[in-house]
Amino acid sequence: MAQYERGAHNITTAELRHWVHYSLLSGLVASSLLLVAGLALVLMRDEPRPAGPPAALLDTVRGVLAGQGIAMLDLGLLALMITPVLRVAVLAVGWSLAGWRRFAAIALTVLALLGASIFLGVG
Amino acid sequence: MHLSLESLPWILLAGAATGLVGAMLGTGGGVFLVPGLVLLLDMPVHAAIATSIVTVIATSSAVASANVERGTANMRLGMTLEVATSLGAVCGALTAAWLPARVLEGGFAFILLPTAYLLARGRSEKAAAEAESVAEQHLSDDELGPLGARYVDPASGQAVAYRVERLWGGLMISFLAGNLSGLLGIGGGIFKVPALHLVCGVPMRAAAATSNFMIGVTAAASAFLYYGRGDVRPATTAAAVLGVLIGSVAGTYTNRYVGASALQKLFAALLLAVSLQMFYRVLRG
Repeated sequence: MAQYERGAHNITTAELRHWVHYSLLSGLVASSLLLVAGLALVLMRDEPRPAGPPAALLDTVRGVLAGQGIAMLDLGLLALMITPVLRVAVLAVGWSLAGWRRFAAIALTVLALLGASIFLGVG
Repeated sequence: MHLSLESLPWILLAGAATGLVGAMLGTGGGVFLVPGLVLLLDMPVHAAIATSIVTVIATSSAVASANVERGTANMRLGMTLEVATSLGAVCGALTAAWLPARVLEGGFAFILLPTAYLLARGRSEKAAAEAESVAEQHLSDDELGPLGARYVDPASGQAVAYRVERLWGGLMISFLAGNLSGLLGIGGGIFKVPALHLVCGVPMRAAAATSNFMIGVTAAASAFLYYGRGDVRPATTAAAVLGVLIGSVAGTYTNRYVGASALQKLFAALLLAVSLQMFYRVLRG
């Protein structure tokens, strides 16, 4: 267990916890801001989204830049859904840098599964 | 269901109630949100499941960021079990696309029964604290193994150390919990927490924190599939997410003043009633 407290690159478990904490918090704050702004615009303009699958990511970003509420909601939801993926990526990098290869490999496996889900869903 | 100024307060309220109850009972709240959206707001079950799965990500991210900082969530164990939960969630979400709404509603009504039982049987804070003191062992660093951990219990200030037993059992239960999550839009914590505690020997507080840490990734694994199919309704889901976040904060505060045991029994009775209502809806057609 002691070997997991400080890794090869002098990264401690406490530092990794900070990274994870801030990755989750930043995703949550970014998505909440987009969702609040998007909801306000959608309600003010009574802007419905056409039924069916969402627009491509590039079109969504263009919509956000054009001030479309529904595009902000889509991007906010995507930001929220990507937050746990970011957390797994942070741990994969952190554990790799710390030299804890077994857990870095496990994190990369989870990342691959999430990548497959993203590809099947919105790829 | 089109979001309007008239429907917004109801969806925010449903989300807030889910977040409040989830934070007070230590669950993701999906078991309350899905029937709430289906029965009270007449939302199609696929859309309700998709909404719930996105709110689970929000709850998990908010709660896990605090638990990770405190050290109660076991990141190495959580990540190891996430391999199984993510795989289960992807399978569940792919299956859900092929299942008719009535089958999903029936499945949900069925899963509420063991959930109500587990909730009614649940542990009080006192019992959890006793479990932590039992887990307090004089384990050396080597005895903890790669998945074991130490933390300081925030309530008692006591140091707790534990090693993880029967990992394969934990992986199998995690796969099933992930599958239920992807299929029905629930976090699955109500099944994972007792399993982590009873099968893997993880103390209750660490089991709850680790389960919460995991459910965000589990939910994300299926959320992209629901989103790509167009089941996630952006405005409704955004309102539910914001409601859940507000309710979670309120629930964390209220939790200090309300006894958990009576609440668990009350909500177990509520889940039983909801389950019967959903069975009736399925049979009525």
